[in-house]
Amino acid sequence: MIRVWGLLGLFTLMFLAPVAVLALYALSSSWFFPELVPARFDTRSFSYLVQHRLDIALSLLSSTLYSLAAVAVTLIMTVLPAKQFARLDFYGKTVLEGLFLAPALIPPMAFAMGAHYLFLRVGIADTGLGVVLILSMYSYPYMLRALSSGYQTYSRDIELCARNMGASSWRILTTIELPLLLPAIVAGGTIVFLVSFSEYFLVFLIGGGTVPSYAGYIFPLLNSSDKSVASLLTLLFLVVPIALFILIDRIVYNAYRKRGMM
Amino acid sequence: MMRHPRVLLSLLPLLIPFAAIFLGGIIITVLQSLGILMFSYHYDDIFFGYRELLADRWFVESALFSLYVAATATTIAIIFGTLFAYLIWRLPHRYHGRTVIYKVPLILPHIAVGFMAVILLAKTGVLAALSYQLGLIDSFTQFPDLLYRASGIDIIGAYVYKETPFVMVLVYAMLSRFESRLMDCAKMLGASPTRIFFTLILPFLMPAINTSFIILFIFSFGGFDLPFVLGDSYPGMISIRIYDYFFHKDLALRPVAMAMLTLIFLMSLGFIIAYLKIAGKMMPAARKL
Repeated sequence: MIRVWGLLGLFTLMFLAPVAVLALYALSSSWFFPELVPARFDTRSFSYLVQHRLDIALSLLSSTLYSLAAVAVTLIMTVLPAKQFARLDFYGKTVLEGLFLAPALIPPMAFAMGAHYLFLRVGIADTGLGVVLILSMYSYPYMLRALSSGYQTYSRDIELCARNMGASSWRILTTIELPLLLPAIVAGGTIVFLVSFSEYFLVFLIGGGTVPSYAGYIFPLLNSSDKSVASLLTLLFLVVPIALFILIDRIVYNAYRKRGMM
Repeated sequence: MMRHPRVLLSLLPLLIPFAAIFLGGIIITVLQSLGILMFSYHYDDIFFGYRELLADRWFVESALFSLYVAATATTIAIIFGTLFAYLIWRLPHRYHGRTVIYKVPLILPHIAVGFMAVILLAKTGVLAALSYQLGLIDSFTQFPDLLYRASGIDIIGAYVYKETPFVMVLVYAMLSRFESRLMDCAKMLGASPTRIFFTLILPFLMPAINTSFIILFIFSFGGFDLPFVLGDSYPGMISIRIYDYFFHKDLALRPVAMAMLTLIFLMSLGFIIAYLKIAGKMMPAARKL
């Protein structure tokens, strides 16, 4: 028991305490050295939130939408290739697999600044489409990895059986593969969503300020002197992903129960 | 070989965007570093960007500083992450779920973590106040300068906070497939816990540790968001130099930014080759990337 509480205490101090400090700042009207806790509390930062609710809601919504779109695009990009990598051995597979992981490994600046020029030429710089494409390109390796492990968790006999009974490829994909891959899709999608939702630079570079993002909205405030408002808005960063995870968890759970898979 | 056309066909949804955006982006970066496709600018010397870059001492210092920050932060994160994951794994299984709080930094964006570093480490920040209350310092002027310095402690601290949980996830996944009877056996033969950790557990974990090292090292070397929030300092991270050349200087100087990016890309490529060699030795299921 001592070991359990010791470790939990250590994790709380290391990983949660900095977040708790943000919460204290968000509630404080003034916090000066050397007070350990703010001397005065008020709700000023919350009135800021109410006053600017439209801008905040718009940027949060925009970030959520392009991040969800990136999840969808990465899924479409990787669902078929992941199957080949998981099931087949073909010439050049290892090299290709390694090559396809590269966008998540090398610093995204290296290809994004060149891609920005291409996007300008094609006319999708400063558009939501451009932002979704660049975020998908940066984050799809996580989806690819998750899906190829997902394909390895069930036997391909199920699929052969369905084919013998005359099911079409599309039918097999939608009624067998996707439901069985759901946990892998959720795992990969979570990372793609988090990476896209958190990203500041790529959205700023390709979106050019015309595509609203929450990271872009709060960035100037982080360097302002008003730590109280900045803290509250930073905490808000946690709300959307956590709410979404809980929602997805319920949906997946219900979907599995309905199909009697749980 | 019969399947080849079909394999190629099902790889297309990935191959096309990969070639167009990723490879296309890299090719443009390299071309612009050589002064080609530079809008209406014309360069007689195709190595103009590289010459400027090598003449810029600031660039060299930034590159060295970035290497130092990335190596330090990643090493600390790996030591913490491996140790913490091991400690969780040693707990009775029913308690593993409770330790989930360590995943909070994974959800926080880098710009949020950078902001937290400012609040905690500033001269009149929370850690300074804590040191005062503990009687370690008499005034905030005695608190060490941790922000925006050549020591890079602010950036290193923020990366350690963000990366430790990442290492924990990878190492814990690896540990959960460890054959625990091996450990019982070692215990029966009289090995000490330290000995067990270093001769049995650590070698088993090396593939996961190597993978994390390469991913996190490249990420913190070239990452932009975190140093950008923490503000400019001297020498500063290399990504900030690139940003300055790209956005704030004359458009005619863009080949310099692109030359810097090309060098970073080549460096990362060397690391990826190392990554593949290591990843190939791992069991497929262990690779969460």
